[in-house]
Amino acid sequence: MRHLILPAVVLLLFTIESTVLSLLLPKGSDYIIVPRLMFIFFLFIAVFLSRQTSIIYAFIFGILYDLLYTSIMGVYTFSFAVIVYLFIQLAKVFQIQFFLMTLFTMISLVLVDYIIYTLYAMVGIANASMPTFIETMLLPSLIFNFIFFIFLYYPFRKLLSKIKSFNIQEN
Amino acid sequence: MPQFFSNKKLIVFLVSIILLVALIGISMRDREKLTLPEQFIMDSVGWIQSMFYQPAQYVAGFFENIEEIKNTYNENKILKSKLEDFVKISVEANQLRTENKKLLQLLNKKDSLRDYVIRHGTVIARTPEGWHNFFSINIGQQDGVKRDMAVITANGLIGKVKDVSQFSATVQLLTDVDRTNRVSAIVDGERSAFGLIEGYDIENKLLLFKKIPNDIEIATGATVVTSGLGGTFPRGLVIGTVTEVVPDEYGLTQMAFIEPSADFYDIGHVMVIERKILGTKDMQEESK
Repeated sequence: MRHLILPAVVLLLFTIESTVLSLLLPKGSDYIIVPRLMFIFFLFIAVFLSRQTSIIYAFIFGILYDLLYTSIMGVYTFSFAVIVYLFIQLAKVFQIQFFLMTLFTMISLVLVDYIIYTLYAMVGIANASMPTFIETMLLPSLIFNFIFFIFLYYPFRKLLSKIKSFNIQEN
Repeated sequence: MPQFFSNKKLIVFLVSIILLVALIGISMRDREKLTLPEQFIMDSVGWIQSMFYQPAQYVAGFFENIEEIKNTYNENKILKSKLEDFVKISVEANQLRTENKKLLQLLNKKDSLRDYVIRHGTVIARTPEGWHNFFSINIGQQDGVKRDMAVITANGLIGKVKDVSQFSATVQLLTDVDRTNRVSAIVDGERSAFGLIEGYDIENKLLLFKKIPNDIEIATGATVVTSGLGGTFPRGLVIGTVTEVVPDEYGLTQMAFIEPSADFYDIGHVMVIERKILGTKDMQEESK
């Protein structure tokens, strides 16, 4: 049963984004807030659990995200996997503490949103101009995700260290 | 600092970019049906989503109710004044309906583009993503939902069914930016003006009603309804009211801005509409 904790948590975050948060967050009013809880959790997995696992989760749940929430396959799969990979490369170099984790997470969030914007702009789905995109989507989402990151840093960290200790016990 | 990409990783990266472009190309095509694995994933995630969405909606609804109580007094006044008109209109509508029925019988005409079957559904999830305006509902192929059917709320048209799996379906809102997302509509008036609803003005929250012939004058405040001429939509579903009419960018046709009558953001229960008269495409399928 202990093996199922991690997938269950990711799936929970995945569904919360589309149900609870999409009801509470403004969409279509002046600001569009895109929650990225699941993506932030992948970055936590990379730092506090295992690098390989985080890439695999980013890839699989990227496919699910594309399939269920968008009309175009591959965009989220690609951007999630690539950004998590780049984040891991950074995490290898630096000793990740709270401050650096915050900084790198914010950079990753900006990069993910930017890659998705460019890919969608190429196929004509994103029709907003760059300044409007930054003003109405990127900044509000970043602020929201930052607040959630601060609140969830400690619980996420504790949860993952617990899962890690389970894994060590079993080996 | 270690190297970011070794040779092997560079190749993997380039191949994945090629794969990405191919995948985007494939999914940009208009697909008729979802594959079985896709349907399976949609249904099983839909089942989990429905457990979360409804309780969350009750909580959100509770706070909304408190907000609404503040406006109740004023609303009540307006509604009372409207109630008197309502009785008059409903009697008139009843008379017209029976008269229309008799006349149609005289003409020996049975089917009308206006007749439709309603299926009720509940929203189970909305896409959290910023560029798409989709939501999922809890009825699917097993309940008779098919692709491209119209979806309405009590206030008016909100979109059409995009993808169907066995027990759930994805609905695309009218506001979604997509070149295939258009609805044939008419303006109510002495000479009905035909045109297409395509596109959405995000800043002013108005729908764009394009390709209306130049020689027809459109009054602001006129109601716009579906024409029933394209595909699977019935005639007479309310879309909204005209707020402004301008010539289009080439000056050959007119374009109207339409204030949608339905709320695209506060959606709980929806109705999926099936027209009784089959389109030519459906007839071909049935004869097979």
